[in-house]
Amino acid sequence: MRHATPLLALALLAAASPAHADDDDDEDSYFVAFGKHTIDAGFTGHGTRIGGLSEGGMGARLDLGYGRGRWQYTAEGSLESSSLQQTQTTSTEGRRQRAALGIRWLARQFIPINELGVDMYLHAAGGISRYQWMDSGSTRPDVDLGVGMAVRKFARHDIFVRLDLDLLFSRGDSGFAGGLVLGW
Amino acid sequence: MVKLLAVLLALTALPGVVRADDEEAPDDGPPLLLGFRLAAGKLPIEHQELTTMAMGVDVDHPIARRWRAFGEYEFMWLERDQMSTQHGSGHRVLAGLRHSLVEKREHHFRTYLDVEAGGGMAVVDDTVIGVRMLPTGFGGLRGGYDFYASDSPSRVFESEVTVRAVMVGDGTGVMAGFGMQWGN
Repeated sequence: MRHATPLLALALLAAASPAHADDDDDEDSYFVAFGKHTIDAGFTGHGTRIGGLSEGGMGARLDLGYGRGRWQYTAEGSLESSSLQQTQTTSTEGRRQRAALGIRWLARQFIPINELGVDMYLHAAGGISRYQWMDSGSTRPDVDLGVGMAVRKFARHDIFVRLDLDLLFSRGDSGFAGGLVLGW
Repeated sequence: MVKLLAVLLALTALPGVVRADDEEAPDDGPPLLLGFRLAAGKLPIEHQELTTMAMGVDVDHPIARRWRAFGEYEFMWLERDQMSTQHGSGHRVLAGLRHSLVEKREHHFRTYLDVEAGGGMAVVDDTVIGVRMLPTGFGGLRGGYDFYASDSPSRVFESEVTVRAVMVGDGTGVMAGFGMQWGN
């Protein structure tokens, strides 16, 4: 049960994708591909549990992307606050730093007018999170799996606003992560 | 619970309360919709109302003029008290039918109100009750709007709000959520 969701989601991602992300594929040719090089930045937040205690925070994130057809390979980094709830009335404050490598697949794309698209993505990433609180810390590997949607203005360098919604798994604990970024 | 389900099933069997315009959707085949949804509510598990949040993906396909079949997978978080160490998570797979009660189409834009019913299975893993299988039935309403663009990679984009009565062994809970779907 503990590992069922990441494995199931990865299997779905693999099954949903073509065997090769070939730009010449008939279906893929209808899509406006990811930009070859993208950068985006914005707000992010997360909520999870560490050692049975609620933990959450908000902060900033920066993603770099390399696109190939409907696939995008990403390097993701974030710096967030971290509040670890010790009791009903007390919490320990700190920060969370995360670095991850990920992959994003353009599952659907709605183009209501020529230069504008509304995209849906499936996303998976694996990374390391470093938590630092007042008198303690923790380094935890994690995996996030999720979906996203973006409104994209097509141009030589696309401009987009993207909303990410991810399940976050780390050492048997599950949580949620979300972000809103602006990119080009 | 049985009465509620009976009423919802009766509603789905009725012809449309309000007749839709005769104008048909663009005749390029029924779209297979793929999307995601966020939902929150209360579920009665082991005689306790648990705050439940869910994030999932769904597929949806027309099977007749005003009928659609759909399937969903959701990951759920269960909370007794946000500060408590008593918590859980779970997976839920559902299938159902939806029937359009009211719809209004204006060129490539449509608003609708559907009634829906179905069932499935949930598996929850909770720090208090352990692993439990929960046969689940549901019925409810969903309303929203969609856009058509016949020359888009995804011909339909849909945005919707759902309200459901969710029946599990220990009683009936309520979940509400919003989601987006893209056609193929």
